[in-house]
Amino acid sequence: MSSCVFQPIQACGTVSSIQLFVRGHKELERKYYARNLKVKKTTDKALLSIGKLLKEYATKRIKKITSGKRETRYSPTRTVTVSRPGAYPNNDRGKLVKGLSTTVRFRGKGKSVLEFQSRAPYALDLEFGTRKMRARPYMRRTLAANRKAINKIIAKGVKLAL
Amino acid sequence: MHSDILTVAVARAKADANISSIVGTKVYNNVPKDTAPPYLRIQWGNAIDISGKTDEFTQGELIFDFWTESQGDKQVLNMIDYINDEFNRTPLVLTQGSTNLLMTRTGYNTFLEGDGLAHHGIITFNLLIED
Repeated sequence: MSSCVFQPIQACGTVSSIQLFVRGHKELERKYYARNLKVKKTTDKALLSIGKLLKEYATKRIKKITSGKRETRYSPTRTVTVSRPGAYPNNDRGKLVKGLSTTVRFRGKGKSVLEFQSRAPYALDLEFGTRKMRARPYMRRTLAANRKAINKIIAKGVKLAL
Repeated sequence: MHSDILTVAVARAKADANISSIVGTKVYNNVPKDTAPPYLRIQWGNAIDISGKTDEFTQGELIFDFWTESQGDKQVLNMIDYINDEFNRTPLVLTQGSTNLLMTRTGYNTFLEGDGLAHHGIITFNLLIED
């Protein structure tokens, strides 16, 4: 238990200042530390489930082949359906999906960051478009489509932690 | 209103001395075929309507794409700085009755495109407009 004691300091018969002694702050500190650890553990868990959700959603949308122009590609020779500009990119050889990853990184002072990225060499070309190709954003769209679900997971995590 | 946003943004980018020192008048929405870099493309999109009690609002995204070849990332980053200085937190003055209340930068990115030649910079702004 914490407790505090007020001690008036008198000078020439009048109270000139008050000293405040707090007892039990070590215990409070310990409690806060334990609470912080619990909050961190729970938020990390929430971030991991958000990452899983984003990865699964993006994978599902990329693998669902949408209608578009058909093109022949080489080595190996194959026919692919190119998605429309602005739509999710269509799966071809699976590099984009394989390259999708989510990582929770610790940034000190109890801060954790979820990184959602794709390691495919053309990941940024598809996301932002190039001089010769219109963008087929899949990361920002995935994030926007799951905003409500993400908020729910975070709210649930914080509730559990507190 | 939507075309007005684009027209005003393009005109403002062209009028800015820093931006035009890099691209000249090559500020487009639809880039003409075989245009040589560096050039700037401005797009308006992802707009959604928000209804208030008495007013109607629109929220959307203004996207600036910049391409260069010879000068590399340094020029791309310079351009991002110039666009940021000119547009961030400085709403557009629209001419067709709508009012741009807020214009805030939401992010930027730079990368070397798959062809290994074109350096691409993207900077996006979030706009809130009272209809």
